[in-house]
Amino acid sequence: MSSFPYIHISCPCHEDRPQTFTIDSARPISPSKSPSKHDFNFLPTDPHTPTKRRTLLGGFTPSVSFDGGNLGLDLDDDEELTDEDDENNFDPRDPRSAFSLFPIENLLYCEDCHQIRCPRCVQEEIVCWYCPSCLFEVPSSTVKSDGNRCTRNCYLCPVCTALLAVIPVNHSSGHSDHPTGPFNLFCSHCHWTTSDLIPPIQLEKPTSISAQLSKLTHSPQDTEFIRLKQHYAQQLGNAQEDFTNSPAALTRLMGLYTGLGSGSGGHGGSRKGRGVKKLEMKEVDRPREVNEEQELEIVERMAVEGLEATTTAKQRLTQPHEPRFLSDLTPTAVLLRTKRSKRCRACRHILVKPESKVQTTRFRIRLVALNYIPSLTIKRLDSTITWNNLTPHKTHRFLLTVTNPLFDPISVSLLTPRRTPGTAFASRVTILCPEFEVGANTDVWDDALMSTKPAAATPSGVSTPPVAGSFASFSKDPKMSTVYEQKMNYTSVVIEVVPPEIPDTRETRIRDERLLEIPIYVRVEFEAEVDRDDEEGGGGKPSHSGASGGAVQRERVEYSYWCVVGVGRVGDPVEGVVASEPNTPVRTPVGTPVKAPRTPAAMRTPLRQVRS
Amino acid sequence: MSQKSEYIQTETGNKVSRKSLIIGSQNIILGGKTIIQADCCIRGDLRRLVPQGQNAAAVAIAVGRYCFLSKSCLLRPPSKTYRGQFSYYPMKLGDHVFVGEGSVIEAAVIGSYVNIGKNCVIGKFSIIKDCVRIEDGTVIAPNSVIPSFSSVEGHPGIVVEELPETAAEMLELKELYKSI
Ligand SMILES: [Zn+2]
Ligand SMILES: [Zn+2]
Ligand SMILES: [Zn+2]
Ligand SMILES: [Zn+2]
Repeated sequence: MSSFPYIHISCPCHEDRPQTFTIDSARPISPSKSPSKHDFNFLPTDPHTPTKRRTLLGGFTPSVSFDGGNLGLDLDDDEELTDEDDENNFDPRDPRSAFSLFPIENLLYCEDCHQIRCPRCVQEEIVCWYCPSCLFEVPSSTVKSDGNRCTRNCYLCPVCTALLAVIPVNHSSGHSDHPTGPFNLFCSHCHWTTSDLIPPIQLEKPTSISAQLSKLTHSPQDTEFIRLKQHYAQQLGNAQEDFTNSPAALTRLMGLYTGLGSGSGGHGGSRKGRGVKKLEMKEVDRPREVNEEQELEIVERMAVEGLEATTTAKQRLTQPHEPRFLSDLTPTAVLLRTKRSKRCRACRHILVKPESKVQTTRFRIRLVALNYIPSLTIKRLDSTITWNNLTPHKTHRFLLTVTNPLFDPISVSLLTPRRTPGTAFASRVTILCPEFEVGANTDVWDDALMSTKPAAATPSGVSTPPVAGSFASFSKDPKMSTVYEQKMNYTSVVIEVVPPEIPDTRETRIRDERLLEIPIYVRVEFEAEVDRDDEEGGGGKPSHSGASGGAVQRERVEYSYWCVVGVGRVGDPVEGVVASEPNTPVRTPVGTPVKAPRTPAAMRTPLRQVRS
Repeated sequence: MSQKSEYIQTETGNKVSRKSLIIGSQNIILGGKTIIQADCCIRGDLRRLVPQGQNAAAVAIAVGRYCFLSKSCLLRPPSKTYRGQFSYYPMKLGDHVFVGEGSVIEAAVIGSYVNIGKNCVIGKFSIIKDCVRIEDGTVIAPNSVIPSFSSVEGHPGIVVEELPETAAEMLELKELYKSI
């Protein structure tokens, strides 16, 4: 798992069981507002939603039930109530959750489904094949006929996997203008050469290595593969036509397999390819042969040469002939890599389409979640906090920053269970100001404010964040209970975490109880232009408002997602820090949107954590 | 901000630590807004040897914009003996290249949006394409090619993961420059 802190967003695809919607009744999501186009994962519905809709929305029914305390709604709320709600909260420890949590940069966004798409809910299609070493594109027909390895001169060291270089066997010849053979393949990392092999492999020319090597290193396995290939080509009844080469033949083959496999005639009926009748494939019946004499020979050789001369499992398994000894390893041709486009599994629209040229990193289509959903970052408010050693019973304050990628201002609610769910050692969590506004994203602001006025004089009355230390000053600081910082397209609020004392036993270690992860439900509302059916799927950000003609309607859009904040690890108890009631946070009255004074940008917090 | 005085700022916004060691600066090009931290060593003096009578190749090391060279890293142009002649060859770094503390770079070309961790060794004449992350302690073998959207680890470094489509955004160093 990544180093602390991290924030992972839960892709809605992790939920496929029916959910009940029990969001706090004080803030009902109006069902009168018909789900709009932009209204992607908001689904205030009963469990009996028609199936069609549920699959479209990935079954993402936010099942939220929070005690009002966190929302600042119910001041008399009994804290113990939270326990009842545990099962409705997102539990980062649930085995189901593990598969759906991704950092925002790994998520895509489908404009048609209005939904986050994680690597699990996209479908990939190969755009091109290329060798990662010589960066030449390999046509897919060549891949089908010659396999998925580079057929040029790219070979890897079988011992350490570094790239091999061609050097003359006789080093002194390197000084002449035209080095003469024979040549070795040489690993400049571990200094392995093809001369180390028994018998040594030496090449006549420094070019067309693949052709030369294939002659020299023809293993029984290669022969067997060719035999099998021929066998099945014959079985297909059309040995003349290489069935792997023509796309028509391939589809026919695929059709045959599906026809045979499912046993249902539905598919085969429409397809009357030439090969259909013939295809009663027979397996090549030949068991794997283990020759006792050979095995004994290997054992004897091991006794003589010692274990150092044998290959590791990794070295052995990357070679088709699975050699037992280092001296039997042959250079490995570089595996090809692919550029792939990605489609939404639900609606089949393309989400990512890279340019097909191998060496470019541009995309024709690139719908990444980063451009659509607000992202969260977390920082220490008190620099004495060590992420890997949080003190039990101490109140740790962090700064949660929500950044808005949209061109409309958004209002955000952050909801979190008061006690972290899924564990017997729950930490208390309080977001001091759970509802706030985040300004619109404007690229112009970014550059104008940032580069020309780097230090636009901190206006009086706006205190700079207090550095390390005195908690007394924190609690008095009125900014604690309101928005801590609000600039341009991001807003920061304070989150308080009080970890419990967690004994260091075998059991807690197995369950990794000391890992402190906080689930946060992010709900976003904004007004966006709708009725933009003509918009291209070409990677534009949503609701990029150009007040261009036509009846532009503005509609309230609302969506939400769960994310998990990995805050750190709880350490051993520290003497003197004992359990106590946490400071009662100043609660914000219901319905009053929290407005912090807009402060001009003085210094912008880095949006992303860079290695420090 | 006592660190402020530590850097000398150039016209193009480069910030070079007074404690860094830059040799042969006339052979070094910095693209602008690049930060060079203390104890970095940049060997601009190791430039290509050319036969007498020809103009000397001027540039030994070219660094793009928004690069960040952390403490104690070393940029040394790669060298080899070719046709009996020992020579150094130029090194080129793209934009938004982060070099971690104590790393040694002898690459021929490093693309843009490349993050090199701490204590890495980037072998002679290696080529690192755009959008690549190299984890701490990686040793890239000489003459290697690392394709785009790769995360590389180990020694010798091998591609362990493909980076997402957002790699360029994630590896951008504008904010880092502003923070210095
Ligand atoms: Zn998913
Ligand atoms: Zn190749
Ligand atoms: Zn090797
Ligand atoms: Zn879709």
